[in-house]
Amino acid sequence: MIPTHRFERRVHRRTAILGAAAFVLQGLSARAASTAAPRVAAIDWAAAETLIAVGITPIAIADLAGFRASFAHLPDMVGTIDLGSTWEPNFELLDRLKPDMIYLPSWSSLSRAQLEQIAAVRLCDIHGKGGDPIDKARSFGESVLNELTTMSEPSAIRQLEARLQRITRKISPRPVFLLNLRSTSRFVNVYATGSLPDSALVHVGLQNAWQGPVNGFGFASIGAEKLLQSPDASIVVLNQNDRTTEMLSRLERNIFWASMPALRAGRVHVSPPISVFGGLLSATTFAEWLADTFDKAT
Amino acid sequence: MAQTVERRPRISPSLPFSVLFVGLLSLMLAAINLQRVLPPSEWLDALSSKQPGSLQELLFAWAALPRLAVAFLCGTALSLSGLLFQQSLRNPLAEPTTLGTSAGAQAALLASLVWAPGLLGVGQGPIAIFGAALATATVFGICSRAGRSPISIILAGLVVNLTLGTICAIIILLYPEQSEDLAQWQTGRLEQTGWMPALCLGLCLLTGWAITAFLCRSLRLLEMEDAVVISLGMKPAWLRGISLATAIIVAGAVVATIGTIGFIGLAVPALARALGARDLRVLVLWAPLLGGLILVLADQIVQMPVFLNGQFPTGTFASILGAPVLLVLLSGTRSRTLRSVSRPMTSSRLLIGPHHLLGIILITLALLAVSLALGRGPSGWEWSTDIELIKRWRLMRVEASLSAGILLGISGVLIQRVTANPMASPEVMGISAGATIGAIALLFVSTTFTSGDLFVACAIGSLLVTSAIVILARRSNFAPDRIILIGIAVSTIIGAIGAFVIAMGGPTRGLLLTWFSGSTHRVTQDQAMLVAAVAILAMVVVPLFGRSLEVLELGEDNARALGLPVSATRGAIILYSAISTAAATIIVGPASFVGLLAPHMVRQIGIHRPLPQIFASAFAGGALMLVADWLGRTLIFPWQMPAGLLTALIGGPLFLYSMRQRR
Repeated sequence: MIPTHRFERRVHRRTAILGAAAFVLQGLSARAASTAAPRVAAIDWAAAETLIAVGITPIAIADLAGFRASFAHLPDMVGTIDLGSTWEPNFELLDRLKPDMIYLPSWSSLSRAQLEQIAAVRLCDIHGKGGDPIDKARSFGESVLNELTTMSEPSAIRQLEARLQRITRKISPRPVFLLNLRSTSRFVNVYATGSLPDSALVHVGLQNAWQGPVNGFGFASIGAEKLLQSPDASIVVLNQNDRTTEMLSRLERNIFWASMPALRAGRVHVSPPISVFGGLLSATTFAEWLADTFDKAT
Repeated sequence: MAQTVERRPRISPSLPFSVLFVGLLSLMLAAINLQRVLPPSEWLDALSSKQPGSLQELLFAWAALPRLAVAFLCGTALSLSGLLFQQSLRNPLAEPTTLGTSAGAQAALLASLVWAPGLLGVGQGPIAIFGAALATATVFGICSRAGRSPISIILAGLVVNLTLGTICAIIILLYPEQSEDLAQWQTGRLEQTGWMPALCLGLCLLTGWAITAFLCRSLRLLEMEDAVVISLGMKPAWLRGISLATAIIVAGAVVATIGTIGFIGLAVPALARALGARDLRVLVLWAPLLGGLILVLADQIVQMPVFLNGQFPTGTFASILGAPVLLVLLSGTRSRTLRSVSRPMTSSRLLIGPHHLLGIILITLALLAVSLALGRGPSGWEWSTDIELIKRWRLMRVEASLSAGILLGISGVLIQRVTANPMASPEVMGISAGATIGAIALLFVSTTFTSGDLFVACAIGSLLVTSAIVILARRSNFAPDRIILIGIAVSTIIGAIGAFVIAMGGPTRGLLLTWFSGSTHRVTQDQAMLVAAVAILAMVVVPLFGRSLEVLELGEDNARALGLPVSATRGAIILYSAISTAAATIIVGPASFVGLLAPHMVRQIGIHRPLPQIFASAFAGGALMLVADWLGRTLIFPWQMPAGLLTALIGGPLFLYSMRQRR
């Protein structure tokens, strides 16, 4: 990759983390004023992010290590307990933690019956259930606010909404591929309708260049040569931390990648680390980065 | 000299005609697909120019054509590998996927993907070939004492496959992100982005084929007994070693290039034989050719736009296509592939006495107490006396896994005795796979199903598959080999479909992964009661089969002479095992292999009469599941290890060890 890209990425990453941290601290101080914190467990990662954004640290999160790795932009959590895998959270442990509320992804709601024996269960439907993830994230954030906090406006969610509002359709439309790289350079994961990155992309006014079929989470694994079907498209590589650099270097040996018009024209951008399974905070940060990047790129 | 009188091998015309037909068909489809990439008038330009000009030319010369080449080379390589395995082992069922070769390559690739990604830069080929060789060597190492009988090799291969699959599943559960790419390898996708893989594979294949052609005359001798071969002055061990090494390297190279493609290695040589090629000299030339063309055909069909926009993996499609071919072949010929093995001589015969019963009761109680009370909490290990907690989260899991183990233990013995085949089991026969297909079908019909729906779907699936097996096997009077082959075919199709759904990712991925891993995590009280009821019923009903089983053991003719309706009895017992298996599969998934392991453990101890064997196996299965469930809950707390995976992981090596010990 070209060095400037890397530098740009680092700067963006730093601003993103600082921004998120400041934002969350603000939320925390607001929370401190209200009554005793509700005890909430999050099996859904998008829900966990939303909770932290409004100043509620979950007492337990499923696959905590995985969550920390994917959501590096969030500040450290103290005392949060690992619940085991997202798919099979440890019921027994959860029961003994005596939560007031459990947030469950609606795409794996099979455990709902068991969890309802422990505490009230709320489904988080941002991912995997169709519809626009940003809209879903917005209404999910509202529901969290209504149910768990007594904060008066302007609340954390309202602020995110305002930030999103500012960049609505800010960029002139042009096609963009959203890619997640794989360890074999023969394939890439392309994100489209139904995924959070696509939702942010459309929000700032860009178009998704991938029109083919995708799975329930809004992505598909395709041969790298399929990207040539839209030669005019720009490319955004969704950053997965240290793995991305290695995979990019592997891709350079791929003749299709090398002859991609976007690469020659400098229209390949590597995003700051983002979580594709995040909530409104991830969506806002990513949308702002998109608006910023494509604003400069014109 | 024998050579001078030897005639040139005769080729019946049906083989060249079939090859020509498949070749023309795949050429036609390839032409249709290629002209969608680039108009035919520009094909020559695209090929002759050193630097591709337009994007279309690039796609044509660097994606479409290499893919065509890789498809042909992979088909050829797999057929050659299968042929070599079959010839040198004198076993028509031997091929890279039944001997653990492909699974070994795959596991090695996954392990390096997760723990040493730098190694992949060195090249996937050596890693895959290393894994393939290791797994195959394990299979042979285990069978070396058992005299390499065809059945023991296939059985060892099966268990090695299962154990490696389990290891992969555990890696996937623990490292979901890194192992996502494995899914692509498992489905065998052929997309290419350059000529390098085709070139390497081609070179490998050419070498392998040259060695085979060179050794062809000597390899034919392996069709005879080893003593005869030695008396002719040949060294069968050397011959076998060279041809097996060639087969392994060729198959490993295929896995490294595109992943696992099942069935070609098994079905294509069988097809070529059915088309009249009996002589190895004919087969060596025509079977690889046929295999290459068949895979090209499958790959071109998959690339048609009507097929999921060309995203359907070729490997999955080839399996779905190949399995029925195998079934048709089976129903046409009266195969004598796996003769039912005479019961092992009973060196130790254990008679069950009262003190045994007392011991069993004590062990059961101890196991129950430990698995209910001993566990891990937020602050470490503890002996829990919180009855409420135990009743709420542990009781039904204990109940369900115990019952499921009992059911699988019973069905295992029933099926092994009825088919007179020690490698039969509900898992091997595809009954569990039937339950899986029910579950997958449900996934596509509804996204908001309850566990009750799941049970019904699984029961319907396994009953359908069992009925299919019963109907297909009826014609051959439930010949053991036929039943096993049908089971392997069914399991392979269903496994391929499952791998494809997992590879698509999305919300169903996790559900299927847990299903295949056999987790007792979500068992409800109702489910537990249901399975327990089925298990208790089985304990009551099964003694009724006791006499029939003893009579069946005397051999078919004797049984008939004693007035036993042999076919009807066999059908009834198999159907009953299917229902039991369906109930157990809901709890522990399709791959626990308790139904295979428990009866073997019991036989190992020396219990041989039908009824004691059934009850001992029920106890062994129940205990195995109970321990697995407890370990699964505590070993990596707060994470959980699915019980089905654990039984396979513990039981697999144990089984292989006991196989090796047995004379």
